Amino acid sequence: MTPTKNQFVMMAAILFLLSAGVIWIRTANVRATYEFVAKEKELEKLKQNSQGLRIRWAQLTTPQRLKLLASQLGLDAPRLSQVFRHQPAGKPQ
Amino acid sequence: MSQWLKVRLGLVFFCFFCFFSLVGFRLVQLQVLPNQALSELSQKQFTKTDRKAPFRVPVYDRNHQELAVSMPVSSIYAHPKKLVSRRKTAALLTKHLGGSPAKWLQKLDPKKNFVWLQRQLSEEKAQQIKNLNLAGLGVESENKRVYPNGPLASQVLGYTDIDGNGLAGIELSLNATLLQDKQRIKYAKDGKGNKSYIERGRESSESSTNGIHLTIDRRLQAMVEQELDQVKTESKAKNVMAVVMNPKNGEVLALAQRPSFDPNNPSQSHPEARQNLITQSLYEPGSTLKVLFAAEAIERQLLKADTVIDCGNGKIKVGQTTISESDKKHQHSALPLTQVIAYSSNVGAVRVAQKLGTQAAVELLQKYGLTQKTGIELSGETTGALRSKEAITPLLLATMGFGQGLSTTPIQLVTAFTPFANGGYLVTPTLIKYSTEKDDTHVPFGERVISEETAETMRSILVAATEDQKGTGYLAKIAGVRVAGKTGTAQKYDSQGGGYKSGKYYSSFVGFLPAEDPQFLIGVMVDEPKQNYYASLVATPLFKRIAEHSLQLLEKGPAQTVPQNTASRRKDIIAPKELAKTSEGQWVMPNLKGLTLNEAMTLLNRYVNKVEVSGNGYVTTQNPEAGTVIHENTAVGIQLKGFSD
Repeated sequence: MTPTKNQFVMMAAILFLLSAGVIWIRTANVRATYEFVAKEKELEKLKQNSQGLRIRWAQLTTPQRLKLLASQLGLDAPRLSQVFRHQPAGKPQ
Repeated sequence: MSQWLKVRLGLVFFCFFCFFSLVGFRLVQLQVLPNQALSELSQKQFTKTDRKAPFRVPVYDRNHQELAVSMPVSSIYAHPKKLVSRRKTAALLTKHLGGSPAKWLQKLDPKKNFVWLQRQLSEEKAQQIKNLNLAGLGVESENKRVYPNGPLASQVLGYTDIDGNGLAGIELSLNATLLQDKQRIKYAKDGKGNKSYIERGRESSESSTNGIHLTIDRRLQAMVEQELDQVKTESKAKNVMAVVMNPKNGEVLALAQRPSFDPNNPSQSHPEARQNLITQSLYEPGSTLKVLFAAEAIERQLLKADTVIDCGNGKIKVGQTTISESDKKHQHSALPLTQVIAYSSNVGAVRVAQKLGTQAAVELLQKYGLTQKTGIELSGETTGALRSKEAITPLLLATMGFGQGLSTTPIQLVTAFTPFANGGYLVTPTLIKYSTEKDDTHVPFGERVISEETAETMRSILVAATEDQKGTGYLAKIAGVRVAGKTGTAQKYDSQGGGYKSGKYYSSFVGFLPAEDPQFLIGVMVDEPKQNYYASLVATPLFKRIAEHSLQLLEKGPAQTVPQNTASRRKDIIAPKELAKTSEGQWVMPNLKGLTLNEAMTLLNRYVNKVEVSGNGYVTTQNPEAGTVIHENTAVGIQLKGFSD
């Protein structure tokens, strides 16, 4: 049985669509991987920035610096006798 | 179609069939069937390996505060042999990095294959050099160790060299754990060699740890260092040291010394400042050692806390040598053991040592860990210098009884006090914060050296030393908290000339608190104070201040009791919202008694310019009295009482 002209055209069309699909997927894959690599680079940069910020945060919150700032504002750490801890009602100290 | 043509077509078809079958077979062989050699070849063609710079994991304190972190930086290098023009390169380097062309020309020595031009630059500068696109110049990513707190805890942390290798402190002793080696990461590349696919796995392991937590408490460490600064300035001492430890598990909460250094720039400090004196220097401990001898005598049931000891009116003759009390106030004929410790009687201590004998003395020094390293995670720890049993003469035994004639490191001395604070166990001091599970299974760390009863007796003896008004440790007493501890004042040994240095002393205090459930074991040492040298005057107040800081860190701190016969708030008191006025419209001073400071000030601040306040608690006295007419310039004074002050 010889294929009719219509059948031949349909098969060719299916083959073309399949090939196009494969090429599209492959292209999308390549594009996605380039995008991924770019994002990975960006992530690395953001991690570096975050690390830098953490260091800055640690430097800004050092006890020595906080004490200096507090003393400039006229504050001082309380003496032990000035610290009073509230006990829940009904519980003896 | 002729027969011949059919044969020829069949032959051609057969040839094509054979050819394509062979090609197909080969394709299946290459593409489908596994082939190690071909896979490797393929990998080589389509993958690239990227190297990541060595990285040191962060070090945190016990509350996850950064103590040491790594920061990404870039370094510029050159392959001088590959440079097109040295002069042009030198000129460009001068433009972007500063310096002189001559300096760069010297660095770009054409005989060398590789030279570092500048290490640990900022990203911006490195990018500028990268953008020059000069053959022979390159930029390498590195990590720089940064200590955000500057000199804080520098003796614990140590420092690293420019290549990220630990050189001192935790950085050295835990170098293998902290340093994550160069990572090699594989990725697929496209035709131009750019990254084109996700990572194909890492050849070396990822960071095995996200960081190390130390037992140090950054807040306490800062407070301790601040106190050391103050004492060093006031006493003009050569060195000042302090250790705060949890006596139950050996966790070191603070370890500090002065002088110190900034680990961000270690080369700018004096080498002596970089030495950890607490683990590496030896001192004759002085009277703090009397406690160990007394404990051993009690443990061996040779003495009891109330056993009266002949103190010979302040003098005792050992061989041809007469040993006398260092403080003439304490020349007693006899004292119970508790007071021998409290008054720090040398003669009493000699009697205790003699009672024990040489063998027991040697054994006790071994037992309390003075003959071996404590095991703290700091490299270079030294151990005490003690004579062999055969070399201990009666005179040496006598002087050992009050802590002279042998030497220990400060960390050894502090650790030796742990059994008195935890029921009899000698713990290993540690700087590494282990997980809670490990804590639970390891409490108490270490081995039992004395019975619980002896530990309890020693605890009460040491409490007496701070509560007896004549005791040398009285200045360590803290209101509302029971403190146990002992002073030590020792003459310094002259290792060069022999004998003891004139006027050079080593003052110390080792104690723990709260005595009923010790949370903090604190040792302070003042080396060569120039003003007062008695430990009771130099080391004890320092101990007290550090102890007060430590107590503030406790979640459930010491309860502040309201002293009896002082004011307390009456339940019927309600703070007035505004002042009453006379018929002439003048303000009248209200009755403030029983109000809190906040309530009183909220009211007064709206009407008068100045209020003098003293004390704390509730208002007990006021001036002017209630009912007096006041105006905005009236000097108002209030006195508060109620909380222990």
